[in-house]
Amino acid sequence: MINLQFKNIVRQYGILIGLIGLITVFSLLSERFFTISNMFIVMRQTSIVAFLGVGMTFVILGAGIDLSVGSVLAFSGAVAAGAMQSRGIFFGILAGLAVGAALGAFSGLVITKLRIPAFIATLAMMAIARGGTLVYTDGRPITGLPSSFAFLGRGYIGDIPFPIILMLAIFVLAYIILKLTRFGRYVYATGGNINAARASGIKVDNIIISNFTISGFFSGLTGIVLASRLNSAQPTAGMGYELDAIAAVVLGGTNLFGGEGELWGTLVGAFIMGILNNGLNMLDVSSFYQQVVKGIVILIAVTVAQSGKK
Amino acid sequence: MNNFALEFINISKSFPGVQALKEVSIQIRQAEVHAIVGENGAGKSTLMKIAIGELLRDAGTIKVFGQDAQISSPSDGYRYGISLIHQEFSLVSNLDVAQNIFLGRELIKGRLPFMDNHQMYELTEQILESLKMFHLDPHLKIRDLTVAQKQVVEIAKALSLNSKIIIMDEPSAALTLEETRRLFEVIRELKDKGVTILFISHRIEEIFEIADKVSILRDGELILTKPITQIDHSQVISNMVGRSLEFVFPPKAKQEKGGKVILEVKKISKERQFSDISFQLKEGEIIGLAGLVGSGRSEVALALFGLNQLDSGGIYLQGEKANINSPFEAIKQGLALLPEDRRELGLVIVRSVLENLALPALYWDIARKYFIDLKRELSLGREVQKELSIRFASFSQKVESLSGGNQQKVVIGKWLITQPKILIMDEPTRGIDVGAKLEIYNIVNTLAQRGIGIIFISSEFSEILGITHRILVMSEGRITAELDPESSTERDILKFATRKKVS
Repeated sequence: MINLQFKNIVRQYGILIGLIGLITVFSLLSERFFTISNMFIVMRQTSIVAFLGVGMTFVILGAGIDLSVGSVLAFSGAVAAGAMQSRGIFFGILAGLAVGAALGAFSGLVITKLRIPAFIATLAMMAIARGGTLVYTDGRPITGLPSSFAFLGRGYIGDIPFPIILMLAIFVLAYIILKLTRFGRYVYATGGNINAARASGIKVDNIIISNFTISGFFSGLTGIVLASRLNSAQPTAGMGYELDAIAAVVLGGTNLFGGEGELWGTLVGAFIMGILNNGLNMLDVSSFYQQVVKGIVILIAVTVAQSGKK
Repeated sequence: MNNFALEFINISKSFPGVQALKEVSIQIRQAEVHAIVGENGAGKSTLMKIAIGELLRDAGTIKVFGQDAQISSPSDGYRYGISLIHQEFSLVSNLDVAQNIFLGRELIKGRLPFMDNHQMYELTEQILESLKMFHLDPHLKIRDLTVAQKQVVEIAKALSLNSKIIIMDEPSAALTLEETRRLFEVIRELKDKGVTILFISHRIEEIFEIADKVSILRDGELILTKPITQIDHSQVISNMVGRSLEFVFPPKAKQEKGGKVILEVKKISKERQFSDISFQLKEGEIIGLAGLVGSGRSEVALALFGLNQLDSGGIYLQGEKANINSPFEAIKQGLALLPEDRRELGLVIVRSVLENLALPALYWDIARKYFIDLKRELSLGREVQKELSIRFASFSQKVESLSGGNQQKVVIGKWLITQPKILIMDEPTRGIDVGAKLEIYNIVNTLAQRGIGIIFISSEFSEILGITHRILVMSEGRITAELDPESSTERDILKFATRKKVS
């Protein structure tokens, strides 16, 4: 029993130990790393993966996968930027969020009503949304955004960058939804055993559609924040971000087959991705090698997590 | 020299925390059909896996035709001419019969690495021919075969390996009565050829039909080995459970005279599953739905609970027609289903005990306004834990780690929290040990006493007789009889459960 508990601790908190280890190593290797200003930079970078990771956590807990987040992010960012130029910041943001949520809901409908596996449905959405972005932007960045829009991505409240505050607020909100509401329970139950969930009176299709809608919504939000930070909507924005988001969730210990996992794990997972990027940059590791290192770290982390399971 | 085909001598095996087999010795003569019976967990499957080499014994000797056999892997088993036919088949569904029989040892034409298809199909044909009962085309894909036909392919595969000893692990579990009959003819055929058969079964009637000898295991120990002619049905059962039969069933719940009808099923039908099913259920009544596997009982249960759409007929609750097209609707109308496969339909095994208990009631009670009332959740959980005496270390423990009996109680508990009026229990005691069975019977009685109407589905007829007020027997999708348990026997039920459609 004690042994079991120890294994549980390794499994649940191993990733946190990994994060602390990573911070320690980078701190020793570079004195510029563990400073308040650099930590804010890390967190601001992390926030992008974290936003996507929150949505992805819902999807994966529900035994799904969403490969379309990077493309949906680009499309939502472009729509937001386009709408903003003619009708103002507020309308632009709303349009971006709505488009993201709608694309997510569409994927959810395809998965539940047409019974197409999430992997395929969102792979298709990945292509559709990326293509749609290129059509909408004609392959060129949308620039000339209102200057006050920059606050979302580059503003501060006190000394703290706004995206960090937004990230923490979203995590608290998502945590409350997952842990304290009926919907959150249904997400876990549906992912854990969809047939038993249905036989318990849960309308599982609605749960799955909601998960993908949430993921789409957060993709939209990420697209908007990214456009704000870059002061433009890029047609190639978010390429490959789906992998970072999935990696953050899996690093965080969430079971890829659904039903098991915690939101804080995703936050830690996102931090690990952010710290790796930042730390390797500081050490002047070439960006080619950075990819290799990131891949290896994911393998190690998941291997350790699995060994804790048995 | 004796003529024993297979001898187990003082075989012992333990798993962490369990002594699965304790010095078990059984001798099986050549060309004998030897039945091994016992409850779940008695050690039958462990013994068979040791015989074939899938598990290693801790101690003891196995002799094959009088020779000490060194069996430590399945290929050793084959080498000694022993084949095990599992409950789950090991066939590749997108290959055909002959390809499966020769899988991994395909015949080669000369020196070139090309398969000799002609010869393989020829040989397959010959083997199938020798099993006269079945006409099977060697070119048929496995996925197009019935369960019985797949079984024959497994047997043919064993024969093609020149197996002298064939072990069958519950071969009839998924077969219809007709298919079982044909399987038995194949077994007799094999016996005539000198093949020795070990036959594991839960169905005691079958053993008397096919076996020459029976060995009874209980808690890893051999209780007895006897010729089938020297033992009767109730002796087999009492030796399996280790106590006399009467003791198993608590006194039945008293049924109020003239109780209200709470459920009326009128002529419900579903193509190829069941037809013209009609019955009434009163408050506090326990109806037994008896029948063999495949008789349509479970399909009826799923239909009542909105998991199986009806073609025709109607379900009436408290006299009003109810349109139950989803479990959500069924729960709303006061129904609850304890499914046959509790891991598949009853539980989210990776989640905690408390989450599972609360799940169906969240919408109606515990989390009516979006947010979960955690205090209420816990207090309801404590209530049913006490009432059903569910044993676990903590409410946050995963259901996965509970024993079968306690898992079943969690499923009962989650429905009790929804305060159902009608509880459908599909094989509620399957895979549960005797002690837990007794507890489940007591729970059923208490619930009936409280006015809940219960539909109790089982293929154990003794259980149906021992617990219900009224028995409906199903065969091939129809109700073939309504029996009074006080004046009926298992034989009566079996008679109607095997009755053919009059066409």
